[in-house]
Amino acid sequence: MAHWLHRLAGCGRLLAAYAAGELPPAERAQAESRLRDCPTCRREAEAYRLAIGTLRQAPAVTLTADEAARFWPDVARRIAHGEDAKARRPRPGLREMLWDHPRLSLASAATAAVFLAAVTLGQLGLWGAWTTGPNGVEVISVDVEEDASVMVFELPGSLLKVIWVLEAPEAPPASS
Amino acid sequence: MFLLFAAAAFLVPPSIGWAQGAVALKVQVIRAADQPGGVDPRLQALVRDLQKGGFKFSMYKLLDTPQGSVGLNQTWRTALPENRSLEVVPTAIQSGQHDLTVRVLGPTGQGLLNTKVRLRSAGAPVVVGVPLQPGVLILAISAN
Repeated sequence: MAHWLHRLAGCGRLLAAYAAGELPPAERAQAESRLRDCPTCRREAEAYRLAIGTLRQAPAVTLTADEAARFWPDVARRIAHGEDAKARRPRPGLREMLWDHPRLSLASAATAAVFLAAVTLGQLGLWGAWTTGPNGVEVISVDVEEDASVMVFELPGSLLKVIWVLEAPEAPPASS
Repeated sequence: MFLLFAAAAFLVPPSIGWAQGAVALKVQVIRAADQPGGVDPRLQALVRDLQKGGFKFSMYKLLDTPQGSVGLNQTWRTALPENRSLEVVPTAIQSGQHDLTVRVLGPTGQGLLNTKVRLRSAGAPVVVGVPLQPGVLILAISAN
């Protein structure tokens, strides 16, 4: 079956749950069957597994009162500054990947908070030293095609930052 | 003595001034896939880090290592597999850090990825992954 048909059938949620190890045996067998038949699904499941592994190892952030006092006003400023981003078209792939799955939704919110904290504290010079390390890489912005999804993560136990573009769903065949 | 230094200053070729604003770029173009082939010995260090982070591809092959030098706000281009291309534009150099705009373009020139990153000189590369048939195209981009 074409990958876009899998996506229409809700395969994204199944793959995300499979990668998170949260499927009952019957559905797990179903997911494994799809993975055998669909190379794109395999890549997608691998991407989910990487993201989930990274989220589960996300570092805890502890702020002093002084840091917290400086942190939240800057977050508010960044949110206000990002209002114009609302005008952009939503990306179905990213929405399906992160928002349609309750556990991933919570995890993605946590990641967004950690990422925002890292960026903000990094700009304040409070966090950059250990989030990026002495040889670290800072990702300032990322943009991809409308239908594609992208993940930015730091590999646990290494200094590498990864920008991973997920395959855009194949276009449905044109009806004649 | 002062006149000697002043004369020397005039004799310094202008290219040296440009070179101070130049960034040396190096890219490892890698194909990773779940197929036989093992790990290219030249990629051992990078792949060790990727595997520590959970990457499970069975084959990592170094396809090319394009490198070059480019001035600030100038575009450096290199070809990638499947008629894709990579463009890198250094936009700032400060305190041993390089701000780069990195674009991966598709066969028709459409932007597959457009990102801005900050790299430390001689530090870790930024790793970019884009889909490839079969497998994934991994670009490890470093600046110096």
